[in-house]
Amino acid sequence: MTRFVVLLLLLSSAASAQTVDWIEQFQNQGFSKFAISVQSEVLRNRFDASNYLISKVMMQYQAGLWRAQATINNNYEQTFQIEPDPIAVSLAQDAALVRTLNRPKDVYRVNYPLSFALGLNSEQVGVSAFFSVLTEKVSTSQLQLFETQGGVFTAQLEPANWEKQSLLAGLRAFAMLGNLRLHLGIMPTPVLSIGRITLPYRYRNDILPFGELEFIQPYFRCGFSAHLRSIGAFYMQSLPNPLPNISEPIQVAIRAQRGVSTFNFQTLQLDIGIPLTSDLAASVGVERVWYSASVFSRGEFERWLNTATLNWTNSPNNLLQEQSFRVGATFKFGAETQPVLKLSDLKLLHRNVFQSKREYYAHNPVVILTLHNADKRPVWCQVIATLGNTGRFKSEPIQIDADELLDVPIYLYLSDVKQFQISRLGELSISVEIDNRKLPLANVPITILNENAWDGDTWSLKFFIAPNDQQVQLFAKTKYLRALTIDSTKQPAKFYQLKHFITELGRDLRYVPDATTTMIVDQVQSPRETLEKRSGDCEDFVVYLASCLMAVGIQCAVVDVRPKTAQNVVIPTAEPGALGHLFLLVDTGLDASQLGKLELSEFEAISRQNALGKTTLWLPIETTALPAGFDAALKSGAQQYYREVIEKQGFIKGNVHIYDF
Amino acid sequence: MIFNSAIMTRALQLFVFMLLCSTFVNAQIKVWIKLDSGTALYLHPYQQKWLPISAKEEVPLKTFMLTKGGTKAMLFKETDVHILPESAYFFIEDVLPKSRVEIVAALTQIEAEQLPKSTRETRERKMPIGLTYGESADDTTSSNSADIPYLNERQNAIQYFLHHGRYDAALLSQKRLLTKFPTLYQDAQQTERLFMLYDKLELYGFLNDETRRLLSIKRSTEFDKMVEKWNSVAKAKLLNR
Repeated sequence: MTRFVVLLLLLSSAASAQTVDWIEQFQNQGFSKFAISVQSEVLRNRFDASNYLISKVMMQYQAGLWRAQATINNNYEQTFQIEPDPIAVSLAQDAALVRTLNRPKDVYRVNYPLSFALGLNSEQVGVSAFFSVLTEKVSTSQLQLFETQGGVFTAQLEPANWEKQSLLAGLRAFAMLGNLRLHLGIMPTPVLSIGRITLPYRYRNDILPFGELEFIQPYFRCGFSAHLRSIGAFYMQSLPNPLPNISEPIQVAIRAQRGVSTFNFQTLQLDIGIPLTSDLAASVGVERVWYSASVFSRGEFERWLNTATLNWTNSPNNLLQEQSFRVGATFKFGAETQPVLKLSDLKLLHRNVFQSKREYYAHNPVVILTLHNADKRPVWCQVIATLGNTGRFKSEPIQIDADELLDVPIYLYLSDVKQFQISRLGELSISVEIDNRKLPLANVPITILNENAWDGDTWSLKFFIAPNDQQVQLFAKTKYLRALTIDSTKQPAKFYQLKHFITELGRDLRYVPDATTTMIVDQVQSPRETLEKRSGDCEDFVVYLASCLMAVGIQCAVVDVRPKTAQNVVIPTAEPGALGHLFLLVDTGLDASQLGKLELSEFEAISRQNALGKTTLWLPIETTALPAGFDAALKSGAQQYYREVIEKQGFIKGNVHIYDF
Repeated sequence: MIFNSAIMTRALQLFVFMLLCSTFVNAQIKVWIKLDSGTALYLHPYQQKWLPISAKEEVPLKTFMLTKGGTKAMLFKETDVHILPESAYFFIEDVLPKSRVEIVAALTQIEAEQLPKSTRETRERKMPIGLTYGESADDTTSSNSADIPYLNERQNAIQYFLHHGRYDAALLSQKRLLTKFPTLYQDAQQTERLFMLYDKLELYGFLNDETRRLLSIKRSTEFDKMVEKWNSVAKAKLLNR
């Protein structure tokens, strides 16, 4: 018999909605043994057009890996009503049927006054068992016929109440696979029932599986859930908390769910959790449900009821509802405010950061932190460093095992936009991010030196040498092409072309020393600047000539002549004969045996391996003598080579260093 | 008078300073060359020119000398006298007798003079000085031993030192030649002479290094056999020590 069913569906079912478990969210951000969460919800239901206020109190206790949760719901009855079947009674003609007014229709009620869960959770795997007390009530009417005197019958609808208590039990487990978290479980199913069992419907008498897959990142998590008759997706994003002194992020969660059976519904909910203090967090949320009631039938509803899933601890507001607004508060007691990660040591490797060496700092640490995980569990974290708006760094997620000391290198990605021409003092702020919380670790003062500043290390000149600079390439290639077209009767032509090319590069150059300042660091012009100014000092010319030569594929090496000094003492390089000086070695690309053809002495050409592993002749070129032409530059270079390398044996004694670029 | 004495004092100070400077600048020891007959030249290291040596002349020690055929010349250093080879090209300092330690230092310096590649970029694999030479075996098109300046004179000098039992001078001259012109490492005669000299002077560490390096560059079978032979000599000597 077909019945038109009007459902007041206030069912404790997570098939319709799985709200965010704020207690778990906030608990993860600051470990405490005991936490309590109170949540209230105003919901307006379509079926009876009434507003309900429902609430729950949830408590959690954690000891080691064990976690126990208990939830008390208010005595809100989750009820649906069913129109009774039409009653047809055959009576004598004078019989009267009396129906008591204001009797309730058939009413089925389901209630979860208490639920509790016990779990064993580690970072990687967890298992928990869930129990809930289910109270089901049926208030119905029974037709009673009374025979009065004279064969007169009276029919009367008598209220009848049945009640049944059941204990439901379920099991769930999760496992982390990298960033993926997989939840699997079976929904609570009755294991014990007390009371009358002749209910007009069946409730959850079979075991139902469910699954959920989460992708967890420090800033967001997203995932899918699949229950027997519904599928859902969610996304949770962490946002910086603007409140002062609160490092816990704000969590925004969006969840959508859709039934896949003929019982068609869709839900959309938005929840926001805001940590207010270190012990208190607030949450607000809204939810909207769309469904089609026209297709409901009793049988369909019963089936859905059976497949409807129960959320573990968030039972009261997991109802199939029209629309609702909820607020909540979560308290943590005895929260451990001390950070799990402690900074044990900080080694500052570079007190001065040279903008020109930005490539270097991307691969060589500026600071090395030693972090200690004081917790008993492994911790995943990311180290963040910012140097004003000049540089930044964020490490990959790092795992630090329990009680482990780990060295974390801090690199710097400096902006390649020329931000300032003069040096200034900056502050390197280092913090660590654990579970979306940002804990400040240290602030280190660092001098950021301007674009032209050079640390005096000849090796660092490679950051100034720019053979790929467009202007340098254009200039060098034009000059080189011209050199290639010169009279090549003299052999080897390659040498004379190189000679002509270098002479051309040195034309109109003027040696101008650096400004006399009290600054410790030297200043080096980029090759483009030297091209524009046509002047510079020793290292400016070395950078300029090396860039131009390398722009046309000629290999170069810089020879550094400086006495050995204590660390941190940088001897500036100046003109030839000064305490510190640089000159260039230029690869002719000619085999060493051709020395005789070049009309050069043994001190003017050096047999060296080039990058291809071939031993070729290299010419020592004194760049400051470049304005006087190739011959003067070569002669001066050879003199220096002889004096420093052969006479003073500087290479062996450590006063002469060579750098291939 | 006071003014004059002040000037004198300053002048004296300047003189002493110049003396000190000249001592510092001309730190290199000079030797006397006595030329009895023939023609001899030395390479002026700062002018980069060959200058003829007069009958008696003081020349820098760390430079090359070239003697023509029929030249009779002697080198004087303090009380030591050394007869110089004729028709030869050699580094003057190599002529002076050396202790074992000095030979090792000179060999290291010869390699260092060619400014081997910096190891900073590849800090992980530190290559000893000098082990980078002679690896350009594949490209022989542009190298031609005949182009090597004064090759015969250089070899004459080595031969001369060898015949007169001056293995130290011969070794340094040979090493200098091979280091400057690594293409000669492909010449079995030159290479074997170097190995032989290492052996004579019992420098088995150097012999082992050089042979091992050459073994990694495969050449002709005969050449490889020769190198292997010397390598086994070096290994045997080093292990027996």
